[in-house]
Amino acid sequence: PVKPDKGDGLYRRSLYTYWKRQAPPPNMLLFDAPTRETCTVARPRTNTPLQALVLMNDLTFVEAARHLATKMIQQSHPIHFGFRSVLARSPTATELKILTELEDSADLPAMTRIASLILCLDEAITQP
Amino acid sequence: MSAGPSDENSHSGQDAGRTGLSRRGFLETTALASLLSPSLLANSIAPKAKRIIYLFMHGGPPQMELFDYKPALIKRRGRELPQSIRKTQRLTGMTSGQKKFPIVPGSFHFEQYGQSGASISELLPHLSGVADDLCFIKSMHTEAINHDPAVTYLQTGHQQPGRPSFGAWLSYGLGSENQDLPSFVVLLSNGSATRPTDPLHARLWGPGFLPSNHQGVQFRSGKDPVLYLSNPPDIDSAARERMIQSLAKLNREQFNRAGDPEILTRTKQFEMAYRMQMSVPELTDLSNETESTRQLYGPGSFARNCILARRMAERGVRFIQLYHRGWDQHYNLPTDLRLQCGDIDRACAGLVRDLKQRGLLDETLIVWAGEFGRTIYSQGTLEYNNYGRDHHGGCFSIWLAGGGIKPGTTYGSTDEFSFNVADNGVHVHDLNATLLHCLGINHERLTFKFQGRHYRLTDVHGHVVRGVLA
Repeated sequence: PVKPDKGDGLYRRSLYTYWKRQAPPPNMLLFDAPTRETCTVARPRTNTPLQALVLMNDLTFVEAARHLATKMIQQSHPIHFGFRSVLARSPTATELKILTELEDSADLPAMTRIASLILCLDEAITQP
Repeated sequence: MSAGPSDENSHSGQDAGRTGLSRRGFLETTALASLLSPSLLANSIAPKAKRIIYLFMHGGPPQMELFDYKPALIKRRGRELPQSIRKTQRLTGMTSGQKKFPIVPGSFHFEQYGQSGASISELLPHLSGVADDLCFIKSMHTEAINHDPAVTYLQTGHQQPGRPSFGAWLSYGLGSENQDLPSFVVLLSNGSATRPTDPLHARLWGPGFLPSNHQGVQFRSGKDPVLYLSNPPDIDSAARERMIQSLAKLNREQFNRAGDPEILTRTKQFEMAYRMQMSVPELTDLSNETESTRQLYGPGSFARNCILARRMAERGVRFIQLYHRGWDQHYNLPTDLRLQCGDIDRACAGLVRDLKQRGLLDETLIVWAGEFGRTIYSQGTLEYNNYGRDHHGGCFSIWLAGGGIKPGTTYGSTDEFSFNVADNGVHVHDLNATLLHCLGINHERLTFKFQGRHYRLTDVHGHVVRGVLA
């Protein structure tokens, strides 16, 4: 469909994504973006396994997790930092324990998995 | 069966279903489906069908051109539709201003097929070959006269949006036969008619006020029905499983604080996504379908969706909803209708034959229906070989086949103008009550309490149509 940009262009906010009406971005459609074929009074809200697949595997979110992890490993309390960056609050002791126990190492791949998990939390994707 | 009293009944409008649900104490949503099924089974309706394949012809196919044969109208061509027939029936804004309502008889040749002698148009030559497997209802009727309310009515039992779709009700009531696939899947295809298609919204397969894991999951048409199935580098299947287990624990923490059951539903969808990473590639890989199977269904995206539907039926998907768009022939009906029928004829017949030869037709209920019929009078000027037809809810034709349905039958009839139901009318609610009956469900017992009321797919209406049951 649409050719990905290069360099810094890859990291534009999705607000500036180039839209082709015949081939709209599939990850946005899965999060109920209107197709722009007709006017839309209200955007519907759905909850599907397809959205989970986007959050876990779409390159946009994979890259977001990698970038977050890159920042996290520079901190003295990486998991605490990552959690706070995404959810704007500190993790509870239980939450910190669950996240810490996910990985044995603290290298970038391991931290990327933790970052990805934080980004997939219901609290991260749903406005309370 | 109810989910407990609600203290927040003040919402209204389309979005109220979701908002209301998220705030309310449906604490036992997980246990609900398992509690519900036994009570339904205790209802002593023996289920004949396990699942539904719903072939929705979106736009409103013209009954008099396909199944409802009215040869006597040929001599009335161009004459005014009598007021005694038209009565006070509501017309859409597209023709209510017309000065004349000239009768157009169907333009296509009909013959009778099979031992049952079903009348079928020349536009559906393959379907006529399986006539004895089908049950035609010619006396369908609906109050709705515009697409969106009419489709919403047929699918949710209400003309206004916000109630659960049929597939969501079945997923909720009967659960899944295959834990690795969604129980309600939606497949779309575009028709070949030149007229632009009418809009189709995701809420038509939405869960309404039911827990949102019952909503229809839309697969894409074409080669990759589901995207994002592959894990990124550095995440193998074992790591993914670990991550989802941790996600479940963390979401549970959040649920304990916030109390919104939709948080747990979100976890369920991640678990389903993980299982779909393994189950979907096998499901959607059509390369091992034989050449004779491909021939049976024919070419095109609707045919491809029908093959997928059969594969889902084999794997226990509960409700497989196909929409084929483009049946809205307000003008250029003779040419566009031919194209639409060409899209679906071979695949519909192929699906019936294929399910039958695999022994699945007995347990699978196929529904072929549009949201309404079309007017016997011409929309706009009636030309020598061109005309259009407006929406018509007064009567329309559908067919059913498979589990619980009496094959080789025609039920109900219309008047000599194919304008009003003459006898054995089948309302939208009657159809839905009958379909539920075939799946072993008493339509009056499948309820969900919301905003202080026990809601049903059939609202407060509906009678099982015994005449179409095997």
